[in-house]
Amino acid sequence: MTWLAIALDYAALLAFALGMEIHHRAILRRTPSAGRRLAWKTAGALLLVLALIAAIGTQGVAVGLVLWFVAWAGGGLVLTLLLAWRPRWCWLPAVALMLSGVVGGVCAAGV
Amino acid sequence: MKDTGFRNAMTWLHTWAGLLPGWVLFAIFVTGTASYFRPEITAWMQPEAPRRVSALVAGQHALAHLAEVAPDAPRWAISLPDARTSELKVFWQEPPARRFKSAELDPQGGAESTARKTYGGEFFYRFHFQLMLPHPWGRWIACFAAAFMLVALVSGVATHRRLLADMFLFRRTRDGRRPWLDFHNVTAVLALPFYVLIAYSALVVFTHMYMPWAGKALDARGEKPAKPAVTGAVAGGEGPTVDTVSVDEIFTTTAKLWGEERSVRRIDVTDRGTPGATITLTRADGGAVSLHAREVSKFSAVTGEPIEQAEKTGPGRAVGGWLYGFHLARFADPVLRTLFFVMGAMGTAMTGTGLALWTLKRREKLSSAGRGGRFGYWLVSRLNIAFVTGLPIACAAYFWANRLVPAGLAGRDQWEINAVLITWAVTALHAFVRPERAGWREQFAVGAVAFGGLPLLDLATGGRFDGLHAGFAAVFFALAAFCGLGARKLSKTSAA
Repeated sequence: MTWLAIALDYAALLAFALGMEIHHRAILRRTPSAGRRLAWKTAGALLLVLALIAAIGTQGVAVGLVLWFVAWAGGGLVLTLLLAWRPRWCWLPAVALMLSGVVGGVCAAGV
Repeated sequence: MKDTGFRNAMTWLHTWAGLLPGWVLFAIFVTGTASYFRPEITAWMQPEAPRRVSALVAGQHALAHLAEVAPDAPRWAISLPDARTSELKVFWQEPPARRFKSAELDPQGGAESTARKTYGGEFFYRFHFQLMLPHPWGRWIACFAAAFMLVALVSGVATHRRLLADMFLFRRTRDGRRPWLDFHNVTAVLALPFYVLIAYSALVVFTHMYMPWAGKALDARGEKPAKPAVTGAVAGGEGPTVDTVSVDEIFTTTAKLWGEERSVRRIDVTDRGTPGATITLTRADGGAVSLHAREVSKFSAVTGEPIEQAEKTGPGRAVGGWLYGFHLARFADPVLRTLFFVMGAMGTAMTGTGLALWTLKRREKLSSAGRGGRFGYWLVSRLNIAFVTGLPIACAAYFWANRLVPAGLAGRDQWEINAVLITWAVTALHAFVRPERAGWREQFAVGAVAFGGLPLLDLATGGRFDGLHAGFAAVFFALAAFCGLGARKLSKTSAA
């Protein structure tokens, strides 16, 4: 669940980036309409809320809040570096984090 | 117009509030980041010490040891191993001295520890707020640096024109200070909540030092109990007379109740030999941010009955405990602790790029304005080298010395620290005698070799194949790669 919270945090930032013209063009190679940008930004806000819920659900309010904003800072750095060097690979960390969550969950269930 | 004037003022403030404490802040960030893994660093530096030992067994050894060496001491304290450390330390007081005597024990056998003497992660932790200066100067300077950092953060936000729009923007232009400024902004904006909390909590931790008046006022009104005098039956030379309950029994019962995962972390026995004797057991951290959320059980050492403790509450205490706990991050599980480490690294990068930006900006001015201000440029640029690459090289020297200084040498723990000081002095000297560009290039190259060699040295000198040593190897290699890239970039492009 910790991994899920981190993955959602990253996905939220990716959605925010897709809501900005310069990053949208770099990732998807087309110019977004104003409506589309707004849609991505809304999705980003929703994902950020979901990430907060997941973080608090896993670690409690106090630690969960900390996990939430620390994970978005770390994720943001990774996203920024990917946008600068390999914008088309931006979705990879989200998938990797989700997989870690699933693998971790299965391992925990197995124990 | 008004907006421009305000922004200019804030830019000026950000420049100087950032530069003046900049080097100290950089050193504090480097050592603080390392301190998140304080017990792990100690474990890496004592590869011969056992790992994952039982707190229950260790505690029983410690109590037996204290009963033997300090049967008459009025106070005992024991620091027990937990999931992160296998260190077992015992402390006792011999009146009239206030100072505690201490010993480090083998947690499995109970004899004096035979692992090599080292300060381990404690070195970084102490450096982080004492700066290797005599007490209390380091703490004062660290506090001023934290206060300046808050000023720099607020004025930095006011300076930034496109805070949200440029949140993820890093432009890889070849020259100028654009990429530096972008990286400075990205690392600053993304982790802004972390920096604000870390700087503010640092100030809260030391409130009692720079604002002692509240405590003094309470003392004067008699609301704060005076420090207990160091007495006890021992002072009279009679030895403990009232010691009816076995500490061992209470400890064993509690340790079994709490379980191995979060067992007893600390045992305190006070006023031994008097009717007021108490036994306090503190449980290992976990689950809550606040330091006051620690689970503590207190017993009378005469009757063995638990003592109810009056809960000290109040919003000030609650907030203070949360901030202190946040700063130390002992509550964090490994994933969250790694994220904190990344935050610390981002803070290091923010401070480092900030320092570099000052020289880049000044260099543009110097080339256009002719003479004047060259001494300032020289001083700042060389100090930058001495701290930004010199200090990490000195930290690498600490780990090298840990494996190269003979285990049996007297005062070897001090020699590890001397290695840091000597190396740092050499890098600083090198920074000041070499031309700027060559200074950076050569120190980056030395850093790459120093960090890159550490995992190999580890394998050659008793390191194990486990998660801990693999994790250290990964961080060392990453630092080496970073230094290597820096050296390569500087030797490729022509001089600016």
